[in-house]
Amino acid sequence: MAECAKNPESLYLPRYATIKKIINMTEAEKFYQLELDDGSELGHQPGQFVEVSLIGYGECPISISSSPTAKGFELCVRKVGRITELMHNLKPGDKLGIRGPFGKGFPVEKLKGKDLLFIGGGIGMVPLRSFINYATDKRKDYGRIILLYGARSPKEIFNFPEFEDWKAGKKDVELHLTVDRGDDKWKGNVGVITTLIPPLKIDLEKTVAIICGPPVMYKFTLLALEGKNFKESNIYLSLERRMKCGVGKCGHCQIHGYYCCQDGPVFHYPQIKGIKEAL
Amino acid sequence: MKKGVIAKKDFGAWVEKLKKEGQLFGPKKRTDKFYHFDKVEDPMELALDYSSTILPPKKFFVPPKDDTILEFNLKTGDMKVPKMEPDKEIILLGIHACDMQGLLRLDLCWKEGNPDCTYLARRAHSTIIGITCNPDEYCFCTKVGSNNFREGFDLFLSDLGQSFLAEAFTPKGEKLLALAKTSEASMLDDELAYKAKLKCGNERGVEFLPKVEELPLLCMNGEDLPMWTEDFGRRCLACGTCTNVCPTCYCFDVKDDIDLNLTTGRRTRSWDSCQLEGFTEVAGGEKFMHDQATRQKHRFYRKFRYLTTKFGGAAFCVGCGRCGRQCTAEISVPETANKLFLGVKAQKS
Repeated sequence: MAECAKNPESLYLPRYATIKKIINMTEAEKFYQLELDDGSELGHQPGQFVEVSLIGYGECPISISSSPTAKGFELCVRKVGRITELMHNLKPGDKLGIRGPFGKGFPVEKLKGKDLLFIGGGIGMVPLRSFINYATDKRKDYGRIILLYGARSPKEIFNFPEFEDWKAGKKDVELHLTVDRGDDKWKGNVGVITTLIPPLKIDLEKTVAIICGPPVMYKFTLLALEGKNFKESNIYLSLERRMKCGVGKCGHCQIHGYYCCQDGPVFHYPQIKGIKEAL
Repeated sequence: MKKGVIAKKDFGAWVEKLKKEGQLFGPKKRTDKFYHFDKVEDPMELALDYSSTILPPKKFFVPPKDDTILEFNLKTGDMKVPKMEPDKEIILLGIHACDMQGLLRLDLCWKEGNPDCTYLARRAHSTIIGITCNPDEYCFCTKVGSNNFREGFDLFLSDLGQSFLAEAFTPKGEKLLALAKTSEASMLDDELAYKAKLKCGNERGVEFLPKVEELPLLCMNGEDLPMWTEDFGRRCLACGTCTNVCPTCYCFDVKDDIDLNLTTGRRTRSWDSCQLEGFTEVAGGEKFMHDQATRQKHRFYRKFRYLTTKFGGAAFCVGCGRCGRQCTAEISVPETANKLFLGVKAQKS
């Protein structure tokens, strides 16, 4: 029982956080700014996630979208399941239960001095934004910040608070946008995200790719990076799984010997290469 | 180590005393064919010569359904983790070596990383009294090395015919043994106890081709064998019985329930199964184990590869035979292990 002498209740006990502001991102996604009621900071690393509770209804894992360099924390939530649908009905001042932060985030310390190539598809942009903002806040610690961002259509591009700055090149983020299908007003790239990779001019020794997107995106993105002679050891991926308990117990997120909620959601590519069902 | 011989005629009186020491559970007949662990009221109900029970003793530490992990009040916003310690000591009487090994494997999992203090509190408040067993044609504990009659037990009973040799391995066990009317054990009693222990697992001689320590590597090399897709993936009916009855399966689902007063409620966990189609499904519909072959392989690999290598040693299948005994499609661990062994061998040559 020595394991339980210190704070034995914390495993499944959420803390309350209050919604300070809600921004509509797209038709399906809302963006929540939150603060913990006990006044503490979440203390997360970019790439980690929290278990969000609607007490009485249930819990689901949500990526943290803000950088730990900012006050409070932010979540971007797609209306896709029972809990997230209910979350979309909430208003500023309402409370959520929060457990976490959980899992392994991006290795922000190890990647100091590197050029960062972010490759985000759809809602995969949410955890990437945490690291992008971290890197722009600690600008001197990192080299180039390149962002490839693919959305299904122009309407589905996330209008994060700093997105206009990225577009204007203000934050030193080299943004390359593409959409699967354009509309009348769209003048940018049309095509899947992998079409943005071949023309990139990058230093292969110095650049690290950080990928997050829908399951189908990983395989093709890895192929495109391989085509560019990108080193496998320079690739990190954030994976989605059913991380029900968040603490490595319930079994739903297991990828072979790994628990995505503990050993991930961010994996170094050599860790999971060749593992069936991982990618 | 303290030991003594308890005559079977004195056994009932001892059980009556054990009942006063906590909540006493033991094997009872449930139907003609099946046994279960249940609360002991009358010593006469005990079926200590049972082969196996439907559910393993994990049910006392991780209840099958509605195990409360959080209580809440929607009006006040209060949230509380319920008391973790059981009201009374959990005393399990008549536990076989395989099931004890199962509990020891579970201990590893619940302790590791983020310790689950509810489980650990229940285990800390438990006393386990083992017994020699009466194997049937499904048992194979010797093949996976779980015929250990000492590790984890507080007290162990060897059936000598007219009496039991009781060996206490812990202070808790000694305390319970002191409640029994005992006589001194002779050399012959020790030898008869040894013989009773040997009977375990070996009697029916289930065929199990690989050595247990070879299995992690066989799993690694056998991922692409057609047996998964063409044999087990097709036969498995995805009912989840094998994981329910497994002494080392502990995956769970979580849900919130609100009472009729619409104010109070609780968050509970219930057993889940990796054999069910929706086990890995996320909101949006993606399933990361997309077919039954993958799910079958996952279960077997979790027993012999993933957790074995993670915890560095023992197999997470303890050879109790429950999954094979209960499977409607007649899939068993020995059959799977044998096909894997032969498949990998054929692949190499």
